[in-house]
Amino acid sequence: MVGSAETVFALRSVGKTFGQGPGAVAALSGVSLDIRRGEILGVIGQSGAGKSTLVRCLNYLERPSSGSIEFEGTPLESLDAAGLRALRRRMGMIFQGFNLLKTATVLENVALPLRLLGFPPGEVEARSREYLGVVGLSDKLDAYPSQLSGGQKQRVAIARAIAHGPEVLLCDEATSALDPENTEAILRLIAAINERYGITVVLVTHEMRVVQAVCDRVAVLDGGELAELGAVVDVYADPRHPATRRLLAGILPREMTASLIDRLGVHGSVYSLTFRGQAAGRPALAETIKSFAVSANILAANIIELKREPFGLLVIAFSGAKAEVGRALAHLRELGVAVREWGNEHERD
Amino acid sequence: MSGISVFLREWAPYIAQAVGETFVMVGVSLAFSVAIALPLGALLVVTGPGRPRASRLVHGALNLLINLVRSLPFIILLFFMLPVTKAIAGTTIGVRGVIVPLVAYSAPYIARLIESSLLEVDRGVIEAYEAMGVRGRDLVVQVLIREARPSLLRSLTIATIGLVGATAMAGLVGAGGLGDLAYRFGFVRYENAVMYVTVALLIALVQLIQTIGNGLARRLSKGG
Repeated sequence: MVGSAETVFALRSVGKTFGQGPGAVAALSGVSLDIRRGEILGVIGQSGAGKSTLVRCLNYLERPSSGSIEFEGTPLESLDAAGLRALRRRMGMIFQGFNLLKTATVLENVALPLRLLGFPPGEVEARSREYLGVVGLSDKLDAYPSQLSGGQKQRVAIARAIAHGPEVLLCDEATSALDPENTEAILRLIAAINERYGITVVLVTHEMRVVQAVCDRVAVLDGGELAELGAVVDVYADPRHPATRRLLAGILPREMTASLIDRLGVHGSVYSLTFRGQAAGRPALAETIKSFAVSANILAANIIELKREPFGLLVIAFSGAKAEVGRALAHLRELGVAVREWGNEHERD
Repeated sequence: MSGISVFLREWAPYIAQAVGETFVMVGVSLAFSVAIALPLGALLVVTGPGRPRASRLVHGALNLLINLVRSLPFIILLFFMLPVTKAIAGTTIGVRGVIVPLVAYSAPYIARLIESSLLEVDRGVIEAYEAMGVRGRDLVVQVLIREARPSLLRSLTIATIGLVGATAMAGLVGAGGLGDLAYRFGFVRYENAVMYVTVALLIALVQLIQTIGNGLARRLSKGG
C-alpha cells in the first residue's frame, strides 16, 4: 500500500486552543500534513505534545480552532450534524481505555453500533461474528468485558471499530494500557487489518517501539507543532529535530555516545554508519576493515527491526592514514551504508 | 393462638386495604415520577458542561427548578400544592388526590438519582459511539441509559423506598395506606398490636423492594 500517494486527509495549518484568555492552552498550532490512503501513519510525541488532540480533530471529536482539515476533498468545517455523522461512519476509532459497554457481551458490543448505524438485523449478526473472528475472539462471543484481558478488550474494540467497513482507523494510544506482549499482538493485528482491508491507519503513541513496529511514516509532534514528518526509516537514520532525538534516545543512545567520544578524545575520526534494508544484512564493516589499512573502534551499535526492513546504526572511531580512512568510507558508501561524520551530520545532507 | 385469630378477624380487612392503598400510591406515583424524571435526568447530563449538548441556560434552569421543588418537605408540598393538585387530578383527597404531590416530591429526586447514575457511565464509551456517527437520541437511549441500567435500578430502589415513607403522610388527605393505619389506630387509639403489625409489614415491604431491586440490578450487571 505504500507508494500510492492518494491523500485521504489534508491538514492545513491546523490549530487547537483549549480555554480562553490568559488561561488558554494551545494544544496544536500550525500543523500541516497529508495522510495517504492505505498507509499507517504514526503520530508520536511526549505527553502534552498534542498528538491525541490531532487525531481527535480528524473525526471532529475536537473542532480545530484554526486551519482546515479535508477528508477526501471535503472540508470538515462545511459539514452539518448529519454530514458529520455520515463522515464518521467512514471511520473507526479505538482508544487507550477500550471504551466498551460493561453491561454488554462481546458480541453485543460489536452488534449494537451496527444496529444503530442501520444495518439490517441479519447483517448485524453476520458482520459481528465475522469481525470478531478476524480479531480472534470467536470463542468469547458471550463473555463480558470484565472477563477479558486488556488485549482481548482491545480486540473487541478493534472489531467494533472496523465492523462497519470504515476507510480509516484512528488509534488513540491504543496500546498504552497493555503489557509488551499484548502491545505487540495488537500492533500485529492492526498491521494485518491495514494489509487485508487497505484501511488507512493513524496511530497515536508515545512509544517509538510502536512506531518502528508497524508505521510506514511518522509525524513527530513537539509542543503542538509538527517537528518532523517522514518515512520511519528516514527519521530513524537521520533525526533532525531535538524532539525526535529525545524520543529516539532510548533506542539510539546519542548522548551517551557523545560523552564517550569526549572521554576517548577521538573527535574528528568518528562516523555514524546507518545500514538500511539490504545493507543491514551484510558484513559491510568487516569486509571494509579487511580490505583497507584501517581499524575501527565501535562506540555504539544498535540494530532494530522496522516494519519493512532491518535498520542498523553504528558509531565508529576510525584510525589509520587519513587517505585510507577516506577510501574505506567511500567503499562503505558503495555498499549502501550511509556514512556521516559524527556531530556534523546535518551539514552533509 | 386465639389472640392472633381474634386480632386477624378484627384487623385483617383494614390491613389488607392499607397494603393495597400503599401499593397503588407507590406504584402509580413511581410510574409517573420515572416518566418525568428519566428525560429530566438525561437532559441534565447531556446539557452539562463539556457534554454533547452543553447548554448553560437549559442546565441552569433545570438545576434551579429541581432544587426549588426539592427544598420543600413532602408535608409542606402536600398542602402547598393543593390548587395544582385540584387542577390536575380533579380532587385533593384520597389516593387520587395524593398522587400529584407524591410525583412532585419524588420526580425531582429521582431525576437527581438518574443524573448521578448516568454520570457514572464512562464518557469514553459515549465518545466511542459518537466517533462512529451514532445519532444523539440513540446515544442517550441505547448507550447512556442502557449502560447505566444496573445503577438506575439501584437508584430507583432507593427512590421507591423513599416513596413508601412519603405515603405515610398521605393519610393527612385521606388517602390511607399503611402509615396512616399505624398512625390512626396504633398511635391515636393506642392499638399497640396494630402499630407493631404495620411496622412489621413496612419493614417487610422495604426489605422486599430492596431485595428485588438488588436482584434485578445484579442480573443486568452480569459483566460489570
